Amino acid sequence: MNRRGDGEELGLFMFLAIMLILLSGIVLGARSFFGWGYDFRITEADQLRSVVIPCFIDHDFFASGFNISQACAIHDDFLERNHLVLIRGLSGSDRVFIKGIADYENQCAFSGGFGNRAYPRCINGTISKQGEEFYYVIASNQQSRRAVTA
Amino acid sequence: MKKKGGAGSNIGMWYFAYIVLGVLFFSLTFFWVSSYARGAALYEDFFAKEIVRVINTGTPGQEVYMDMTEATKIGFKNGLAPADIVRFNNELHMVTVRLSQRSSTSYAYFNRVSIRGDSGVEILSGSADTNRLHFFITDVGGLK
Repeated sequence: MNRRGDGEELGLFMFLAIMLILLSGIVLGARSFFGWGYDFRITEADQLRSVVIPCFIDHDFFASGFNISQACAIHDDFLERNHLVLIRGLSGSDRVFIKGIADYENQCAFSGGFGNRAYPRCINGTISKQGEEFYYVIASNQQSRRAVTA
Repeated sequence: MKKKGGAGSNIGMWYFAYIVLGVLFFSLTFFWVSSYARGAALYEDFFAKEIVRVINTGTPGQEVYMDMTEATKIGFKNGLAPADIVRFNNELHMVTVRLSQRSSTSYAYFNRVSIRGDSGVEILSGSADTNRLHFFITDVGGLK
């Protein structure tokens, strides 16, 4: 048993710390050279808007039992996972239609989210229907799924 | 002098451990960076999203041809057959692009349609360097 303590165990922490610093440098270097990938979310949110807004004009989204998937030809579970469709009545109306992740409304309103890739990409605006104004937010945070097989 | 001998053998063991960890670290890093350098990861991501972009705006009855030459160059170099490069999953409404034996990238489309892509990536006759993806957009259930 070596009671003098030659420091090999402490050396391991130093070694791992150096590896970690090297790894961070390599990852950041590769990312800055090859880029962070194709950010499709704002395009997808725009495509979704071009489907949802005309559909909103043609259908009553606030009717009980309304199914946006059936009415607007969107796959059933698609909006539940990484998207938000929110339509809120303005000018005193309290009618709200929400499908998807409700918190994206707050994340879309947060100005610090523009530079952060973890936040969803959003499209918002107003629309009028039968003389009533509505505010809408359509957001996407879908990331591509990468599978690695051994 | 048993104590000193013990310490010496320990040093040898630690050197061995450092070398193994170092080799493991650098080989994993090499494979990760080389997957980017070959372009497989980037083109999988890009083409999965571009195919989804076309499907999202498509209507049943449309037939789509899409140039996939850049992607197929990488896929063929990695030993993939044309039929393995793009897969459509109508149950999960998802497009999967595979350009290497070990990885693939998937992306979901929202448009309520089915995709019939039996022919997959076609190698055009008379043009060895040009390949295109061919698929049909149909009603859910594939009636139209």
